[in-house]
Amino acid sequence: MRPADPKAIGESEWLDHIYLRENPCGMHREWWQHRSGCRRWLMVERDTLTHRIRATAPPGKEPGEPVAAASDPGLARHRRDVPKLGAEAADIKAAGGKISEADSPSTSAEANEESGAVRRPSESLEVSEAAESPAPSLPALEQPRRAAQGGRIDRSAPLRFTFDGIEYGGYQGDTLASALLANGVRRVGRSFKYHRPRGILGIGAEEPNALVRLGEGAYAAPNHKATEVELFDGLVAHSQNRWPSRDFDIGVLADFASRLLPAGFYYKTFMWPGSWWRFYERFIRKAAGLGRSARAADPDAYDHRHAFCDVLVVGAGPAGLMAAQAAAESGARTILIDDAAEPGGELLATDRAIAIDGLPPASFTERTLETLRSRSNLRIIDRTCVFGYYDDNMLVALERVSDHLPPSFASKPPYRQRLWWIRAKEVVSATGAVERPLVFENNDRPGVMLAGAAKTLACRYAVRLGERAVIFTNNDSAYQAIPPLQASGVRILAVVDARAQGPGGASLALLGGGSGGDPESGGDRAIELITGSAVSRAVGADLRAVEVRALSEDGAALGNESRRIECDLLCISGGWSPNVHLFSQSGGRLRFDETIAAFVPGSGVANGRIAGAAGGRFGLEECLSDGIAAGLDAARAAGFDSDAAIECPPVDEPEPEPGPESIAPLRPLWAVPMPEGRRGKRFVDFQNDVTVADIELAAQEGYDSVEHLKRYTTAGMGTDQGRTGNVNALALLAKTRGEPIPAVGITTFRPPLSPTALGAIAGHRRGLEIAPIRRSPIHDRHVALGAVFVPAGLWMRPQFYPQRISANGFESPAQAIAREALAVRRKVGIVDVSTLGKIAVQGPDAGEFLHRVYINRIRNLAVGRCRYAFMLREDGFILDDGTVTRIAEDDWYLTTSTGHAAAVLAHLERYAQIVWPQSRVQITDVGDQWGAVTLAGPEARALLGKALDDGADVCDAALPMMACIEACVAGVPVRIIRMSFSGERSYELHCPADHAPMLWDALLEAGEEFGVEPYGTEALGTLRIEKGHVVAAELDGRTIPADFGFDRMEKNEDFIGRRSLERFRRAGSDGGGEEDRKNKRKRKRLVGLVSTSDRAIPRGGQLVWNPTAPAPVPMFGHVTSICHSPTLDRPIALALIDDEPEDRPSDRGEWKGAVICVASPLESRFVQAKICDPVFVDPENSRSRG
Amino acid sequence: MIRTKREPDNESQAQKPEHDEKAFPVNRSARTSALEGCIVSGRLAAGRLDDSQVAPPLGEPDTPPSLIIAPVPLAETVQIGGIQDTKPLAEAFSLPVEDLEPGRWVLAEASGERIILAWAGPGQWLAMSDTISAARIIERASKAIDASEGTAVDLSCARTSIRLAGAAAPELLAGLCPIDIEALASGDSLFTSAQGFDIHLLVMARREFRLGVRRSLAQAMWETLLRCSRAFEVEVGALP
Repeated sequence: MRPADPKAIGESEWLDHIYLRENPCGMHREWWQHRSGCRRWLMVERDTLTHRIRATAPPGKEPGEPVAAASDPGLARHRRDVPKLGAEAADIKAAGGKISEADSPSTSAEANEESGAVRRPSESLEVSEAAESPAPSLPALEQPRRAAQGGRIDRSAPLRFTFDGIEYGGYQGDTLASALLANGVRRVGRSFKYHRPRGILGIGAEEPNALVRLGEGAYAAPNHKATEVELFDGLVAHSQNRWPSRDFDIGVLADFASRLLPAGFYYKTFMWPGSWWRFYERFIRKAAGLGRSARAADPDAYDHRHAFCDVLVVGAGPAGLMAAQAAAESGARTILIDDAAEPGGELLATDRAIAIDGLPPASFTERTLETLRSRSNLRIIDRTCVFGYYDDNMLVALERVSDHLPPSFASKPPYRQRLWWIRAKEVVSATGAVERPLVFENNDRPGVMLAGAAKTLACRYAVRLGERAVIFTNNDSAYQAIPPLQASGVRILAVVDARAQGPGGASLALLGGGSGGDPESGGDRAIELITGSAVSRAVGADLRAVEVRALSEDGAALGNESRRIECDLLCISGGWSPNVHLFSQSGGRLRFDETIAAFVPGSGVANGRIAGAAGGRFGLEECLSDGIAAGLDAARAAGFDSDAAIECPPVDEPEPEPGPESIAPLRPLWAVPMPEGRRGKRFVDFQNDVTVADIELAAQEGYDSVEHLKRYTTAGMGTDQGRTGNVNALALLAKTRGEPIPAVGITTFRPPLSPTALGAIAGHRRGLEIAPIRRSPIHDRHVALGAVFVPAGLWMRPQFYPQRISANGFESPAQAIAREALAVRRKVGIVDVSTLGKIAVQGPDAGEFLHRVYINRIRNLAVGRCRYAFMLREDGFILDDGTVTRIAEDDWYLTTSTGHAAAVLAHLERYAQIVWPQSRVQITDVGDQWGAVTLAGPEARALLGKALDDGADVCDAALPMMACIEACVAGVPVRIIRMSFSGERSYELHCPADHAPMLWDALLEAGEEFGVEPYGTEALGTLRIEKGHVVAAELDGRTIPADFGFDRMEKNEDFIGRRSLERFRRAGSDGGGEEDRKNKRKRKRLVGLVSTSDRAIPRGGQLVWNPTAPAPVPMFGHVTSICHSPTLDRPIALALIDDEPEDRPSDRGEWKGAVICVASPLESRFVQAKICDPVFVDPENSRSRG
Repeated sequence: MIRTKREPDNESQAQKPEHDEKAFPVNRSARTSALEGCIVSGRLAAGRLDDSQVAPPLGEPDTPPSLIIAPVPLAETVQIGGIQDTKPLAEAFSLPVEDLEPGRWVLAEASGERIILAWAGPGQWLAMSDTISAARIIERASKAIDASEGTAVDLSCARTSIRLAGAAAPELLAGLCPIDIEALASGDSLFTSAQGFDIHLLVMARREFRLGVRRSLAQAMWETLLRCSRAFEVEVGALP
């Protein structure tokens, strides 16, 4: 708080007040201003760590203190409870994630009454989409790897698409990945670094390999995961990172040369000779990497939407569906978000042998969704990925609105994607888990696939992934893939289980055949079970066979004997990692769970909950009950206490084989050892081609912290954000370091966790619309006059008005500017100054308040008089110059410079509300209320006299300099203030903005006989530079009034900034210490520069004696403003120059008249200029006074 | 009490309405709306993709609009500030005192004078009328203003209001404003931002809103509204 008497305070104490602020970690008090609203300052108590706001209070009150409503009603917080949800308030209903039209009858009637008969055709998009489902005009193309039946694809709706120019067939409901696999396309691209052929590994956002470019031309978008792309008729996709083709790629040489390209090779190879790096870099960049973007601007449109809810459930798998149902049934306003086209998650890929509540899992899902969609307090948003979790439970999600629709689709929504900003009281993360691959030699070959992905592809998309398959696992989950794979027609030859004791009873039952509980007796089973073993190598560029070897007890060695199994599909499972990204982003701490060998949510954060597999609980029944508990809990925390008991639906699973346990524990297996004598690659991070050897190398070279590892090897980067590889990588790092995994930790998760188009983030604000454009009330007139506009802050101002000088040409900018400036010097000009800040300061204490704000004497200003004045910041530097006019006893009218208007307003409000809260002052921004034009030039008075109604008197006696009168022009009431910025006789006319065009027209009409010409900002600037007037370029926040000789305005009373000026002032006198003298030397002063030639003085140039002197060249000032003076016909400039440069050669005499150099090192040029008085024109001020 | 004229207080107390009218001699119909020149009234079909289509095609609509975007006729607006006690203000406009609530607006209608009194921040009210002049509004409020040593400022030209109505209006606003549109009730008066614009939002009815924006931004706001309502069948209203 500002000391009552700044003068009475010691130097150091004052400096502490000005410059020192607390910066605590934790609860902190600070001043905020409601700038876009009531403009009140308020005290905010905020936790600097979490950004949580604990309390607020108006000035003079303690945060949390109750505010007396009677005395100050406005300060009571505006708060209203959300209306009870029901028919009345069910404005927006969820129906398939789209806004439903199905309002209750009363609602529709009301809407019709309010706004005429209204309807939203956009809402019918979902409906029309179904109706318009591509008609099967073409017969279905043969899909050799499609199972004859099953799956959730619509076989009545065949589709065609092209991949790398070849046409294939698919069905409605397919993803690009499933359709490619159904067509037997296993190679979908080349890897990032070694250009190895790659196939599809996963099923969703975790997919590291199958990156494709979609669309063509300006619509081309790279790096889409084929597993996430919904198929539509006419889809065009291309593989990436290969040349010339997917099958023959020259880049594969990198694979053979890989010994030259270890992790971080670009930090240490290709470095010689040093100057060649740029040459090598081009090739390295070309060879590496992901797809290429379109060069043209994005032609798609993107929408933004804000949503609020009590409970947000992320993920609509078994846990998410139950959580949403529980929360909604408790009465909470609930939003359920799912990134798939069809909510249900794992339920849609669960074997039909399992029954939930007596129904097959898919039917149970459909029934649950139907129930949820009928609820008015629940909205389902599908095809939407939550990619960021920010403070105060704000989550950001991206909805794919029309990515899945063919370009020709008739009623395609106008947006490609929509960004959702969701503010939730409580959040349930039911984001599921991602399967980890197993790490062994050539584990990246097409044909090697995660077991869970294989299960889903077979079950949901009816893809026959191969002829003969082997499963390699270290846990029980992979066995779940057996029934769907068999149903799709795949023959499963063997399961290789790393665990010596084999799987649990439930998994054994899936192997078929054998009846006993003896895991060793694999022989009599339908599917061979090979326990205590590992796949040590995948054979073939596209998988042809696998080598299986025994694995030692500690997992560090392989048996010498290898067995080869011919197969074309290998399903792998290394366990599951919960999707903890959102939890981690919300500030939650992770914990390593030894049982599932993965990081799980540990110490949580407020208002966040985890349900199901995201919390490391993988059982179906576990997920369902977990979801219900989390949903109820979240609703309760949001204030919805429901006693409605929600039953967990019963799950019937096939009988497990009798044995010690139904599910056996996982055996951590981070990497299968390399067989003796082999040197292949074992991939940990598929997308970035990071191998086990790379990780060992990084650790060996000292990059052994997890964050260093990530940056050195790029493991965990890229579009998949290391979803599959991260845990394996850091486990291997831990092994190399000989430490437990928790000691190594995990890298930080940051948003966006999924690639997001920049266009989606920009939304509607792009191009010229990136910021709102402010227009003067006379804007249209300038357009009609052919003005060239220039942005000035948010404003669009006329820069100059080029005139036609011949049949086919206009004036050059320089010609137009010179003509306009000379018109003001010789006749009269008119300029639109509506952009000036204008502030009304009113109240009994307004005069006193302004007296303290400005350095000038204000209190004694007579009514009807005006003053040019400066206000400072408390640190003594100039905030703004402007004018103060006293309109009435307690009514003051301030103008500020255009650029400083907002800052000045906030400054005044801050002092009025916080520092002097007792003062009876009202500050109102009237910048938009008043339009303003300036008439300037020798003929200005004559013009004004002619224009004024009733022949009002504007003689110098009636309207002297710095006076203000009220009059009318063409019936428009105007405030006329006489002052001069250009050095000519000049009048500022302010009128209510709605009448400004009339005023402009009237003045132009009246001025015709005087040759009035409109002038723009360039001529305005030229005129003021010639006159040595300062603007923002000089008032750059580092100057004080004395630098311009304005210290004569400073009054001998307290004003804001005066105490700080003491430091500079004392230095000038005899007193003051060494510190003060240094400050004094640091001051600059304003001078003029005239170019000694015709060459323009460089904008922002540095003043030096000798620009070619060895660096560092001593500088003693800089150029602030430049122009070509039409009056002098010379390039001139204003500059701030050191008052007493230390290194100034003594023989050079006075500054004035000295010839110096203005250097512009960036442009490699310098110009000689002579220092002169900053007032180039009429130093006696005779012209402005007439 | 402060007025934007120079007469001392005691004189202005005695002023008659016609005197006030003289101080504001311009016929209101001569005012130029900030939206003049940028409005082409007519119909905009849903699903527009191209910004060049913002100039609305005129013609007979086949379907009723889901959204109406229209300029609100120019009104006289006075900001009344520094009101410590709302009772005299309520009396001045013949309203029950409990009607003057923070975060709300209320219509004061009596003997042909229609004034909307909208909360505009602590101790601050906006009085808007399409039937009487700003001077008349100030006169009616003068006692209340004097009682609190408050002020009145004519802001008739400073604000431009745009009407949004129709079934899609809440949806459009949910795309523009970071506030809970579903929680708004008819009669609410609040400040928020919309796509970077500072706005004053009045909830006129459940699906009808009045969006107040500073005059210099009105045209940009208008264009933004049209651009953001691509998904809707829009009827663009004309200037009266």
